Amino acid sequence: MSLRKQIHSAFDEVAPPAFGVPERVVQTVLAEGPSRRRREGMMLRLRVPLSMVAVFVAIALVVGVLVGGRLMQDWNSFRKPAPAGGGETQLAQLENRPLVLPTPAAYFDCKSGPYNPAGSFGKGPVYGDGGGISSTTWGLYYHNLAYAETDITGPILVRANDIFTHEPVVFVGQYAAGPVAGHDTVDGVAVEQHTELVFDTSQAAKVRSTHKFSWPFIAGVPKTWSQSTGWQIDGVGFSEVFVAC
Amino acid sequence: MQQVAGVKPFGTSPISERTFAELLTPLIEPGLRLAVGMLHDPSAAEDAVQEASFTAWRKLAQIQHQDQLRAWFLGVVANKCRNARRRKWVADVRLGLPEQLSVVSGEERSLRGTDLRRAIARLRHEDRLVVVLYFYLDMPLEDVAVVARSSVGAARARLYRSVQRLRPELAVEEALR
Repeated sequence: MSLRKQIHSAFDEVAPPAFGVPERVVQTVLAEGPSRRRREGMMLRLRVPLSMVAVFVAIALVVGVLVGGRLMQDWNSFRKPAPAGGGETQLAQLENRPLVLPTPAAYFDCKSGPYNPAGSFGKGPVYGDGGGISSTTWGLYYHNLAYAETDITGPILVRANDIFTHEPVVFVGQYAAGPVAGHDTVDGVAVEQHTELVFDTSQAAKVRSTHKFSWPFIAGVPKTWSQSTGWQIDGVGFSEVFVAC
Repeated sequence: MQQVAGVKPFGTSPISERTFAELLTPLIEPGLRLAVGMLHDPSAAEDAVQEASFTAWRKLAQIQHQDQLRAWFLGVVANKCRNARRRKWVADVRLGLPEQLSVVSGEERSLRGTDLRRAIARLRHEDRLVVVLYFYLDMPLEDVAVVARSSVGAARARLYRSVQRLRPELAVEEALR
């Protein structure tokens, strides 16, 4: 039995007979809709001030975290200056690693993965999760998340290409690095498109994250993309590749 | 800027009760099927559809194209299901599987159905949504993407990933038939 039939059978076992339900639902709406609308209008007026308080609290939290983080960073760099050029040398070494991505012949040969047990892309130590989309006249921008659960020393370099068109995936915003590939305006913000992402565990975002280290980032693809991308993540002592088809 | 499945206003005048009934009635059954697939609880599913219908009553006049109506309404139902599960999760930390769905001894078919529903219930909301829309509502992937407010590629990736979780022993193409 196909998975489709199994799912039909599994859900039909618990689905109530729909006889009469559509009419009942519509009649309930027509009977109660106008009074609910009035009630919700009153609720909305009550909710607005509360929501504004919530917004102010959220802004205060973000500002606090940013300012606190910056102060901590300044304090750390004051106490322990980084060795000159050390990080750059490591990054240059990572950039020199060749990009080795799968080359499937056709879309249906393209297999997404590997995934970790949580369903995120990657075999570790760095994993990737997809997120929301913003679009521009140039293409699409995915609000993704990279994360790690273990300490990683040194820089982490992320590069990605379209598997079929071989165009690079671009990165904008925080952590975007490397050569500038173009410019665009994303959600009203003018951005530079870069071809690399670079982060390390000292820069990981801690806010609202269930992961030990997390790096929210924005990846862009042109509208002509094949919907299949290969990703290579290089760090000191590891290199991993995954594919999203 | 935000894209995918945008619903544009086509008129500000309220629609008549008759028009509302004519537009909404055919959408209730697929909405109910979707809600059952998402919640696995018939009464919670009907509540979710009822709530979605109230939303439709308020916003239906803002839908520009009637051909978007089905996808828009199913998207509203999906949101109501997400909220219903959140409330349920907060209330009693269950997966939304009613007690009467427990296995009927000796009936392998029922056992398989229960196992499959439980496995689907463990998927994340977005993954469960594409599975239910694609396999249970038999919607093409393009329409699934519109309801899920994602690109077709992202919907396909979600579906592949979910199938691999549900049936790791099956080849994806075989499972998608």
